[in-house]
Amino acid sequence: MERNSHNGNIHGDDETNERDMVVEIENLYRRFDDGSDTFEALSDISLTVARGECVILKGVSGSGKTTLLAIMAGLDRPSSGSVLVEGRAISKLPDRHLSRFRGKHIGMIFQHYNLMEHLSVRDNVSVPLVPAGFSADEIEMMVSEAMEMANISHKSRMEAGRLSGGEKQRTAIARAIAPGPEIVLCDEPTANLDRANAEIFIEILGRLYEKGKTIVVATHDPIFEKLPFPSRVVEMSDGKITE
Amino acid sequence: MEISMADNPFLKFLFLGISAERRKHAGIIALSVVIVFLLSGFMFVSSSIRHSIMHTLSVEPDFVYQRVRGERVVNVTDESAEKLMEIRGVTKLSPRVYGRYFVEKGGRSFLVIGIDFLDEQSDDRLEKLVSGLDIDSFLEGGRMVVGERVARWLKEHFYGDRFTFITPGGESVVLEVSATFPRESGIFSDDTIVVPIETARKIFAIAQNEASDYTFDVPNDSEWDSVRAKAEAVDYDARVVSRRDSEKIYRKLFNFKEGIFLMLFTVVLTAFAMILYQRYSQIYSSERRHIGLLRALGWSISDVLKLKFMETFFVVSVSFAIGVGMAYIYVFVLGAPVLITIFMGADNGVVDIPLVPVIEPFLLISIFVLYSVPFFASVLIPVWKISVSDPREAMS
Repeated sequence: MERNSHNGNIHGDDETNERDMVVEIENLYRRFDDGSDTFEALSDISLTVARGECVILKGVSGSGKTTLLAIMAGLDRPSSGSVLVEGRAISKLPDRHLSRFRGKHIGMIFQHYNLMEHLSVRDNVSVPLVPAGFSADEIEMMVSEAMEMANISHKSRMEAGRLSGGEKQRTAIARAIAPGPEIVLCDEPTANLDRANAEIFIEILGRLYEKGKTIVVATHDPIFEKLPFPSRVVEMSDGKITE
Repeated sequence: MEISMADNPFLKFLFLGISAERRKHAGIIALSVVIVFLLSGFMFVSSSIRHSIMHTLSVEPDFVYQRVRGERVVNVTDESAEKLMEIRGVTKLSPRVYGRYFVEKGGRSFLVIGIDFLDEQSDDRLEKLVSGLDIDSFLEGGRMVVGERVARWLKEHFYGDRFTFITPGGESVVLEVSATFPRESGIFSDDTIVVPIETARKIFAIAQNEASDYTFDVPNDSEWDSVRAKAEAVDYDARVVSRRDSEKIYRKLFNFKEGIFLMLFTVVLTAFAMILYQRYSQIYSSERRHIGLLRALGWSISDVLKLKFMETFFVVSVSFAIGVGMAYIYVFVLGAPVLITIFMGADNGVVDIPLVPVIEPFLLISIFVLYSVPFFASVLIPVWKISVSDPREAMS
C-alpha cells in the first residue's frame, strides 16, 4: 500500500477507531517477579495503532517503552491484558507460528543495530529471509530492493563490522524491511547516531511512511518531536501512558 | 536435480556463519580432534590386536598337551603320546619342539618352534599361515620361516637371510629364511622361528622320543569336555589347554584393559562435555545476543536449534574425520608408538608388534556415538535454554 497524500497529525481516538487497526492493546500489564520482589514494568496500557500510522513512544529510560515494543513484537508476553497485532492475539500463538508471523509482518530496528559484524551487509539483510522459505533468487531480489530503499546498496559487500554508525543503522533498516513487513518497530534508533545520520534515518523513515508502513518508534530523542511526516506522540512514564 | 549450497539459503547462511567464526570453531575442533584421536587410536590398537589374536588362534590346534612339574613345563614322552592317541575323538596328534634361543648372551632371544612336517595338519596350518610357502622346498632342510622382527634383526646383523645356530653340543646349524609370517599373525609370530622338528631337536638337544608338547584336534565339539578330562588323566602332571581357553584368556585380558581405557576415556569425555557445557551455557553475551537477534528477526526456536545442530554436526564431523585420520596414520603407519607400550606392557618385550589395519564399521560408529552424543548435548541444551527463555536478549 502506498500513501497518496499526507493526512496531518493523527491524535484523536475517534478518528483512529474508524481506521484499520494494526495494533490493539487493552489493559496490558507486565510484571517481572524475581521471587522476592515484583516489578511492574507496564501498568494498564491501552493503545491502538492504525495501519499506516507513525506512533512515537516517548519517555525517559525505564518508562517501559522497550518492554511495550517487545510485547508488540511478540518477543515478550504480557502478564495480563490483550495484544492484537494484525488482528491476531500474538501472545497466545505457539512459538513457531509467532516466529513466522514476526518474520513476515514485523520489522525491528534496534538501538545497537545488532548486526552480525563478520557478515557482509548483503548477508545481514538476508538473515530474516533465511527461515521464511524463500528461494535464493527471491532472497537476492528482496535484499537488493531493501538495500536500495535504505541507501546502503553501495556497501553491500562490505563486512558490517567495518561500517560507520550511520551505515550500520541503514543496514539494520534494510534488514528490517527486507521481508516486506507491514509494521516497523524501532527501539531508540538514533541513540547512537550523530545529528546528520539521525536526519538521514528520519528521511528513510519518511520513505517507509510514504510506502504505507505502520511505524512505532520508542525514543527519548527530541528529533522525533518534529518529523517531516505526520505522527502521533504517546508519552510514557513509570510503565504507564501519560498522554 | 542437484541442489548446490548457493541454492539453499539455510546452508549458505550456516557456512557463512561457520566461516566467519572460524577462530571460535578452530579451538573447539582442535580440542575435539585430540579427544577423537585418543579414543580412536586406542580403539584401533585394541581392534587390530584382537583381530591378530583371533586370526592366529583360528589356525591353532584345538588342544595342547603339556606336562608341568614344579611350575616348569617339562618334555612329553612318546608313551604319553600313545595314550593320547588311544582316546576316542582325538585326531591329528602332533609333537612340537620349541624353546627360546638366545642370539645375544642374556639379551635378545627368539622362540624356535619345531614342527613335524610329516604330519599333514602341520603342513596345512603353516601353509594357511604363510600363504605361498613351498612346503616341499622347506622340507629339503636348512630352511626356516621367521617372524617380521626376526627377519629385520637378521638383515641388520647378518647382511642376509642366513643364521647359524649353535647347539648345546657346540655344533653349527645353518638355516636360510624361506618365508616370513604375515602381519596378521605378528602378535604371536613376530619373534618366532619355525623349523622342521628334527632341526629344533638338534638346536635344543631334545631326545628323539620326547617333545616339548603335543597338539591335537577334536573335530566333534560335543566331545571336547570328555576328551579333555581323559587327556588330563594321561599323566599326573598333565596340563591340557584348549584353543577356547586361550581365546577366553585373551578376551578377558583385553576386556580388562579396554575397561580401564574406556573408564579413563569416560572421565576425559565427561570433562570435555563439562567444558563444552560450561562454554555454551555461560554462552558469552555475544552468542546470547546472536540467538536473541535471530529470534527477534523471525527465527523460531526450532530454526535456531536446527542451525546450531547443523553447525555442531559440521564441527563434530570435521573433527571426527581429522581425528580418525590422524589416529589411522599414528596406529597403522607409525605403529602406535607409546600407546602400544602402554597397552601391551613395556616388560612384554614384544612392543614392536605390527598392527594390521582393521577398520570395523561398528567400531567407527561406536567412536562417533561415544564422542558426538555428549558433544551435541552439551551444545544444544544450553542453546535451547537460551532460545526458549530469552528472545528479548536482542533488545537489551
